[in-house]
Amino acid sequence: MAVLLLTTFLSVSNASADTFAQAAQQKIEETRKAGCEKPDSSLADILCRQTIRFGVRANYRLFGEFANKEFKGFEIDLSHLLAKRLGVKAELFPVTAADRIEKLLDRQIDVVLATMAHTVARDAVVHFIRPHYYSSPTTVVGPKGLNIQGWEDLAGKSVCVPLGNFSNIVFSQHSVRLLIYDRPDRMIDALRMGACGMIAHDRSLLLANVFGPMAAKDLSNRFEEKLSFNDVPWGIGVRKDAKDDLGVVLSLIMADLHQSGALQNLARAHQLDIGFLSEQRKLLSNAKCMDKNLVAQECLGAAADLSDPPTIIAPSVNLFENWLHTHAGLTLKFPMLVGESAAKLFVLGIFVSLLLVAGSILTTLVFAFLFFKLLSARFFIVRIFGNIVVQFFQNSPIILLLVLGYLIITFMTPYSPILAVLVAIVVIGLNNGANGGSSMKESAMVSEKGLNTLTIAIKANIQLRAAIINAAKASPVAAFIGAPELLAVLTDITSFSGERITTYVILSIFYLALVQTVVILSGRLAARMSQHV
Amino acid sequence: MFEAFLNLAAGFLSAFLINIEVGLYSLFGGILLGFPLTWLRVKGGWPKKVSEAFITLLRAFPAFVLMFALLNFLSYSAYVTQHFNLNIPKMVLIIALCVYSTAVVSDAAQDSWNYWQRADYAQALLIIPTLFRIFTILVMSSSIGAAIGVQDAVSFTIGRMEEIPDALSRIWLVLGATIFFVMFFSIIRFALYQIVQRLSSKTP
Repeated sequence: MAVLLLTTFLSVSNASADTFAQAAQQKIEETRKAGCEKPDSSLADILCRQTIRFGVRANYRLFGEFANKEFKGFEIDLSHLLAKRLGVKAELFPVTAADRIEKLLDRQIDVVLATMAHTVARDAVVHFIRPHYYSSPTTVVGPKGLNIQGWEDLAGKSVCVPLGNFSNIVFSQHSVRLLIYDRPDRMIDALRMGACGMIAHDRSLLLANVFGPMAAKDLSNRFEEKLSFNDVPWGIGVRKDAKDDLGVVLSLIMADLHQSGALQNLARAHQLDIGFLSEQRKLLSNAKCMDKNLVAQECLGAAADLSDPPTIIAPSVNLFENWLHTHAGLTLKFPMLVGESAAKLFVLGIFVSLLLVAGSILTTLVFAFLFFKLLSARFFIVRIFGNIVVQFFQNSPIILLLVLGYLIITFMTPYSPILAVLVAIVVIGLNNGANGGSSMKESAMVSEKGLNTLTIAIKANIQLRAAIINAAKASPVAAFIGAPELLAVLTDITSFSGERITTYVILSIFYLALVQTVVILSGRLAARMSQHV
Repeated sequence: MFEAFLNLAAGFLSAFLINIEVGLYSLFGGILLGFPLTWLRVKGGWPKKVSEAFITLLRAFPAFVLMFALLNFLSYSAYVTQHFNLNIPKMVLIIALCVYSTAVVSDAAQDSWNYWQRADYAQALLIIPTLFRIFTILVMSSSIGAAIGVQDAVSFTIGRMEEIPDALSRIWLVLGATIFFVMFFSIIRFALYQIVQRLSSKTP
């Protein structure tokens, strides 16, 4: 009898299933038969507990929302569907983009089903269930009247982006100025209130909240999709140790849900775009996708490779980060030294900042002399002209002057980051040079007649020094028109790395040191020149 | 056409009130911090050394950089965002400008104190127009808030500008806004100049 039972069991477990659903059911039955005395896998644990714990989003419209004491959305319904297929009850726990992996690894949940993009970097810590259950590109949304045809139209413009999204690196590569937001709802509010001219996020979220048929009318009437890129698949995540049991079963169930059209129906019920799901259904309907009771590899989508290749010094930097954490209790990250793209941006930022400071100081001095000459001209009409010009540059907000300079230049020639740097150098020079020139004129008025320009400049050295220090302090404003200086590039690095404390501390120290250097050097120079008068 | 211009002007002036408001708060913050620092500076000894070092640090900090650093620290702080219903960009701008105003208010207050000690009261009273001058600089500097989404006059102008497809019309719009600022600050500078001249003429 025992032999007969064993033979029957083996014949069931090794039998080749015809469908994904059968294969999944076979594996569930096999695990159930092992009993609940000592559950030796995640799947066994779930089956014995009779519940599966899902980490889901609570504030992601149409996918996972928590309202009126209940969860609702596409991912919520999918969680219940998966639990039903496993023959257990679904327990839902809210997670965020920041803590979903941590909660999974801490065993607070069994599965992450929370708008998580499947990337190569995440593959290192989480096992992703394939086939994927959704896919969404990053989309830029802007006012309907705004003409954005491609990346070249976005260069130099501001876009609000979510913190820590690696797609943001594409914006930096196309000279787009980034404003970072940590929560999508705040970013959408900023768009509504006019604080953001354009925003970028997962298309699915923006479709539901901003420009799709389900979005609020005040937004959908004003904004539209401008550009989409980086289509990234979304996957269900389980712990690595659950890969061969729970992972396999969920993979088979997902393949069945695609093949049967159940996922498409679920997406339709939530008014989601079904383009990706239709493609997956077609693909998985092919008989070749069933391979030895598993989903064939060729029918599974790959993870998106969005990671920044490491620099040569990345291992040393990681060691230093770990050392700081272990010995000093400090959790500091240096993303600008670890990733290749980030490091290139960082070096460029330092170079451009130094160039901006040196250039701004030089143009400030040149314009100060020029304005002084205009203000001291022999002809009355030239002096009047000089006065108007000096008043204009002294009393204009630097940001408006930068925008004006940028508009005039881009009216004549196409935008480029180099052009933005040059415009900023000239504008900062004009703004501070006007103050310098005016001070030289005042100094000439109270000095004896017949002094040459250099002597007058030395006599007005305190005001001239203030003008060049102000020029150095004003140089980061160049970021406003897209000059790739350190503030701009570190903002870009923060936008895709998610790290901000170290980044902004480094930025503050850099500019403090730079300005202080200008203060000290200009003080020494002024003192030395004063000795010659 | 005329109605559209009036609407634009009304919107601009209403947004300009934000610049004035930011300028006032920043000056107030500068006075609150600057006067006690001046008191420490005139006291001498180690309080003087500490306060002078602190003011040197404040002077060297570019407001634009500080604004971005503060925005990143404050707006992502769960405590700040959950416990205070604040307009974070505006608050960040005010704090960044306070760093500048604290240093210059303290310098002006120290000069005033020195004149007062020498019984040169007219010169000491020049701190009043100086504070007004600092206020105008703060109003002008508040335009940097446009970079972090403060809805001021500059932000309003840039917002309207982006709605205009024609490049030349954009230039005219920004030039118009710049001329408004130039006129506003030129009038204030002239008024301040007159006040300073009158006070200086009273100096023995």
